Amino acid sequence: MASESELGRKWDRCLADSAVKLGAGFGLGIVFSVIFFKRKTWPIAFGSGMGLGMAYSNCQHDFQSPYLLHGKFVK
Amino acid sequence: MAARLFPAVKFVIKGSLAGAAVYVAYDQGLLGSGTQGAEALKKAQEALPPAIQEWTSYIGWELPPTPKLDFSPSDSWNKGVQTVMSALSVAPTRACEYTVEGWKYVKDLVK
Repeated sequence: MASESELGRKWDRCLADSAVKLGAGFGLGIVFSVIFFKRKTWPIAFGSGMGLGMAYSNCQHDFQSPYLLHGKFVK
Repeated sequence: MAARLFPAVKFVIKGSLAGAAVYVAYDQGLLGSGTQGAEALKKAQEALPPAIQEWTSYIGWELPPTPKLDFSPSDSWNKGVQTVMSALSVAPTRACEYTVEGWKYVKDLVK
């Protein structure tokens, strides 16, 4: 468990997660488009975009996790 | 009364289908953290060849055996980055050497 390969592992996790979330968003977009929105295209794009956004947020949190400071607000 | 009930029933059925799809996605860990997503992808990759095998034997098609991809894109990318960076790091020294040699060559020509 070399620490210098930790960055590589984080990137691998990030890419895998992006693929999964894009696929899930795309699939759910298709489901919603067929069921509720009369087979329009925009729910598919919306779902894919939401999936990419969730993946970006996860990646960001993963990369920043050593540097995030947890503090308590003392009144 | 049936005419008023039918749209409501249709809406309830549609809602349950959509809700079930979202719940399945959530349950499989597709909407969670990065590690969960990576694990879900690995599970899917492992489950894919047997599923394809089962489907093709069920339908009766004869698929040719999938070619084994010996190519690792991440390894090639890393090697490429290393090559580029090492070339860039020796570039100034090499440029100096070539300039000196070229200058000497021209001087020898002129002599």
